[in-house]
Amino acid sequence: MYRIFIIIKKELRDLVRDRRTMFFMIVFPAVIIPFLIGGVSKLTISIMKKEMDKTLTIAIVGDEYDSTLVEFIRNQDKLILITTLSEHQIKPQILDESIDGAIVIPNNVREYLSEKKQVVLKHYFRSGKGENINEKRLNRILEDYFSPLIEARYQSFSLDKAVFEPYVISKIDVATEQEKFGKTIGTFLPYMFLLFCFSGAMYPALDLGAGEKERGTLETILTSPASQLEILTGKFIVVSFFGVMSVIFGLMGMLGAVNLNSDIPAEVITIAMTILGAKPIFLMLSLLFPIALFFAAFLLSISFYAKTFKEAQSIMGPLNILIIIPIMIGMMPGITLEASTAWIPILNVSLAMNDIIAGTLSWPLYAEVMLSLLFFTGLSMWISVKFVSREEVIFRG
Amino acid sequence: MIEIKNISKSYKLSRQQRKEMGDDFAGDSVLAVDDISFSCKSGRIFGLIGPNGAGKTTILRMIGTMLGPSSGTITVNGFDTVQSPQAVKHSLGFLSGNTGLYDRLTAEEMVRYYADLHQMSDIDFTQSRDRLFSLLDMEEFSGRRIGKLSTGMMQKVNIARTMIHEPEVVVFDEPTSGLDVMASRSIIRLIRECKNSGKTVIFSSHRLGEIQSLCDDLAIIHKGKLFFNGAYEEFESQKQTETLEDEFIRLVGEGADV
Repeated sequence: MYRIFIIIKKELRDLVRDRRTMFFMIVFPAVIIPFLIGGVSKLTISIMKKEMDKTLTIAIVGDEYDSTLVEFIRNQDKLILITTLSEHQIKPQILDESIDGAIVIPNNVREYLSEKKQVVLKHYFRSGKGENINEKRLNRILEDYFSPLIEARYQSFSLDKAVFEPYVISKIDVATEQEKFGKTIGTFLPYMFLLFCFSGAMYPALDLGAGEKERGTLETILTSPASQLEILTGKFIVVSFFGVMSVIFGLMGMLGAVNLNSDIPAEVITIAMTILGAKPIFLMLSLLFPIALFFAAFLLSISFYAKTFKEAQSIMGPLNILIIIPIMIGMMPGITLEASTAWIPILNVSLAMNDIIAGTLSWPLYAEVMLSLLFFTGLSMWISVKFVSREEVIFRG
Repeated sequence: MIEIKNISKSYKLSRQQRKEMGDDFAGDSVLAVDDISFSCKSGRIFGLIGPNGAGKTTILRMIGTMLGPSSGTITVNGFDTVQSPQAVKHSLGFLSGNTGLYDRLTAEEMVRYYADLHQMSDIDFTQSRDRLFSLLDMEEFSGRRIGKLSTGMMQKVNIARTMIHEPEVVVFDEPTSGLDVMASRSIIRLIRECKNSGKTVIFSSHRLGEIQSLCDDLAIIHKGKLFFNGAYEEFESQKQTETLEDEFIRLVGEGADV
């Protein structure tokens, strides 16, 4: 036990002085990621604002058939009306971005309206990435125009609108604000935390396995009185410590980003503070420690197997996918923490964390997740110790 | 005292390694050390020479408990390397030409780390550290990080690291390979001091001149087999050629890479 402590102390001192490790433990999760998240949200808001403030250029074909509608559209803010195009010119003009959309009014509008028939207006637009803000803006203008006309038609027939709409759904969402947040934006957080944990553990693992081999220090430590089990236990603890610390720094970074970002609504900040309370943090850390040890066993096995730092890096890179896939599955709709998913490592942590964030964690399932983690972490560490203790792995090459 | 009795060591080959051995090679393992016996006595320097791939490093690693013998026994100060590896490690210092150091630790921290692993008391550490640092002239750079030291300084740290727990048996595996004359000289001086203080020293080298000037006993191995084992004077009296180099080549055959 004493030697394990000595090894931990030395490895911590050594790694804390390594700029690359510190970058992945502190700078990456605590500064870069929150900065990116904050930057992306600011950018999205600014693009949306720009789109909403943009002056739309709308073409109307057949303006002579419905002057009231044309006048209504012309009176809208931030809108330029063009009435000189013919219908066949609309598509190329939208594609070359000369206009943002077009409406084609049929020549029978007056006749149909007076006969109380349905008028079909053509609305040309170009769909793109994300929401079609231009199309939505024009739709809203048209709905504003149609709404009183629809009401007037009901009244002209002395009809009660409710007669034609026998069912109206009144939605009552019983989910708390924390739950809503947890089940939407919150699904993203376990993904980030597990990724921080893995990337934070990766560089120490590279340094403490393949790095030791490459420097020739492994041979020396093996001739010291420390047993292989003591050496590996010390390294497991240090690697997982760095993984967990990355998450803690990530949490701190996100907290800072949430507080400093003026665009985030106050209620979201309140929910974020609830999530970052003592109990949820304690529960998340209780899951992170064993999963960090699981990652450490996995990463150290690869690191000791590799002949060089470079070889270890090239093996670990593609294997990232093995970690990312279960996390991604956890983000899919319909995948929830239940008796079966609670046994699948990584996925269970991702789902359990999501429930912790949403405040909907079931204690029996949490216990099942912990049992699964203890079993798989113990198993992976046992396999790793057996694997790394083999002469052909230690002296490979 | 190191006692080696009938040790053999075979390595299992991977598919790739079998492929590289060519079509003539049959089997799935290679015998690196084949039934070797010798003993190294206290207060004497035992030299181990052989061409590249002869099995020298394998033997030294088995003495250092890093590798286990496939058959046979090795005892260091009466402790079996397989049965009591911890006891062996306590009485052993191991220094090789490939031995690395932790660049981000200072010289002082590096030496202290190994003293702590040997569970030395503060008093014992301070005494041993002061003696070694003064002997090796290390005080000036003891607080500097190893990555910033010159090769010669690093070699001194390595020596201090090897000797801090005052081992009774010291293993040197090609300790001067890749070192300049000055750095090599500090190693040679250390080997002599070890002998003078009654330690058991086993030493492998490619530099036959070093063997000639240092060794009391000698073993020549080639392809895992022992070609000579005895006192250096005995070797000198039996040799059929002029120099150690010529005799070595005569024994192991032309074309062997020394």
